[in-house]
Amino acid sequence: MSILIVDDSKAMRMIVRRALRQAGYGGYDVQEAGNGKEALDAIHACPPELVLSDWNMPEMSGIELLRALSSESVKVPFGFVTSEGTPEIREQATSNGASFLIVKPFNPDSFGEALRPLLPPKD
Amino acid sequence: MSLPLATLHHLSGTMFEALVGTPLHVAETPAAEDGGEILGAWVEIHGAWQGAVGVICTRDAARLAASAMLEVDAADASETDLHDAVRELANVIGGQVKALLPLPNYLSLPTTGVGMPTSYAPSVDMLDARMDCNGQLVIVRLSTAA
Repeated sequence: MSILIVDDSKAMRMIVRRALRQAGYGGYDVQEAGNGKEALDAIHACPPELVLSDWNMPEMSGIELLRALSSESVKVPFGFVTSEGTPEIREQATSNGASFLIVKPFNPDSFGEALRPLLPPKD
Repeated sequence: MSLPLATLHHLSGTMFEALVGTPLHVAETPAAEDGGEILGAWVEIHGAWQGAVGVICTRDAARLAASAMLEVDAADASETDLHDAVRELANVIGGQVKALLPLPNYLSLPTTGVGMPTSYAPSVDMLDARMDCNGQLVIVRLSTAA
């Protein structure tokens, strides 16, 4: 039972880990990937329960990752955690199958609200 | 420039405190910018408004940010950690600034370097929010493309 955090910033991956703990999701194993390509490899190797992905990343962006998963018919709950929060970005995220989009910076409450419909808390 | 300085101060202080946990205050007596001890990170905004948002700060301010964001002792934060922390601050503040500018617009990947960045160098059409974090200089710079 794992959650995959995809972000090219190690600092942001750590902040997301902390938010997950504070939102009651500290009992899940956490995998990390530094871009969409690494994430795709990680998902092929060991599918997680949930993917939390940044939008802008080198090599493969978050939206490219989501489209790649869709084209492979890989069904995994997917949410964006990004500094991009415009209506256009939100529309792209939703139309490509993302379950939610959390804008940075965030607090544990916003994580809990977004994750609870998809994944039960586990301390 | 399409953003009031007070808005840039407020937004930068809020974002910095959310990510680092330490408040920023408007710098009353701006510290000198010493090239070797200054780190800078930038995100470019392309679209209806063209320019860049930069976070420029002392190495000690970057160390403080890296320590808080990565949950490591300040002394243990590596050079890579310092750049990563400042780059992510620029990315998040850039995202917030972008949301206040004319649409459509797009955010680039952040870039970082030692000293003052030469791209989007100080220009007439530039807005500097100069702030203080525990005695350390932090500048958030909004610069319009030439």
